[in-house]
Amino acid sequence: MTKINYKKLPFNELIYLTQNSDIKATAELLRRIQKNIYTFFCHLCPPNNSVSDLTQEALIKIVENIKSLKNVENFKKWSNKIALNTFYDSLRKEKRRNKHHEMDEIDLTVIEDHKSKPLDNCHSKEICNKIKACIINLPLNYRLAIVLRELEGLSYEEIAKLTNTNLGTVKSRISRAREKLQTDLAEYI
Amino acid sequence: MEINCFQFEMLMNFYLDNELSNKIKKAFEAHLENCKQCREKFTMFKKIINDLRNTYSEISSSSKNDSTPNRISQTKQDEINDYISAYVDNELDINENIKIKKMIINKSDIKEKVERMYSLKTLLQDNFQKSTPKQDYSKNLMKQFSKKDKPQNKDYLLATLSFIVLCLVWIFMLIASL
Repeated sequence: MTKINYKKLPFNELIYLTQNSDIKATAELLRRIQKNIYTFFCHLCPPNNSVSDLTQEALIKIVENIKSLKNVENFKKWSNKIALNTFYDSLRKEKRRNKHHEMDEIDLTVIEDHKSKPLDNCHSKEICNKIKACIINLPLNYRLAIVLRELEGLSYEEIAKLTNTNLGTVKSRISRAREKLQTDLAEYI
Repeated sequence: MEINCFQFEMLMNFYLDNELSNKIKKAFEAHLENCKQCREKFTMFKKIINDLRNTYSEISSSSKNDSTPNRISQTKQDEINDYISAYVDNELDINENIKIKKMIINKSDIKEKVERMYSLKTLLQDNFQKSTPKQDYSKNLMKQFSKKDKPQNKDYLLATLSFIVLCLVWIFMLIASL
């Protein structure tokens, strides 16, 4: 019997095996997608425990509902929708709890880059922290649009469907987000 | 000479810039007259290009003139920025694309805006690449998922034991009745 090398399996096959309850395939799938899901929440929420919780929550939902995905080619769109809905749910819970996020006062020291090599200077960490803070400081709609475009690589049409808006709105939100970021990050551009 | 709808669409931009030879220009105009769909596309395209041109000349003239803030110019400037942003994302249709490319070649400030936008894109994407999770969620979650399976084994054991107890009770009652 040939041993499967899960690390080298094409993504679609990995999804298919996960749908058929292959535990090793599930573990490998989680390993491959966790960074993207984490980065997504990292740039949408202010830095606190919720990033970690939201990441776990989204990953659990993806695994628990993966059998409902009929076409494995649509995994990216489908998982983006799950992540986005998880984020919206967390916003609703926050509103109910009446927490107020001070968007202008993000503590940059809390945003850490654990994997940065020691020689990989403060400069790189500082830039990453600054970029993260600037993105999080954008109005929510602009933030969502720019993260879905630059991180997830979605087309304007896909972003419009996911966020229930039209193409023109997506175009202007991305443009406004870029203008603001260009101003805030002018020293690095 | 006749042209089809696809060729018409490719030539719209050059027609507006008066860059077609007489022969092709006549074929273009003939198609424009005869094809309703292409006529509508051309009207819409003309409007977009005129808006872009007007926006550009408003911005240039208001920046030469000076100090008083011009609200209309800001809105128009936003519109042109939207087109540049969409161009950088390759989200414009072919004709809008050609128009922006021409503006980039002819206007240095548009070229600078585009370059800054590409730099920003690179900066953001590098940043996203560097972002790494603080923990290995896959390991933690697999532990959670495997714990969820254990109760099923316990349930099975319980069911088996209950069945054995019931059988014993039934045998006992049978013996008692004899």
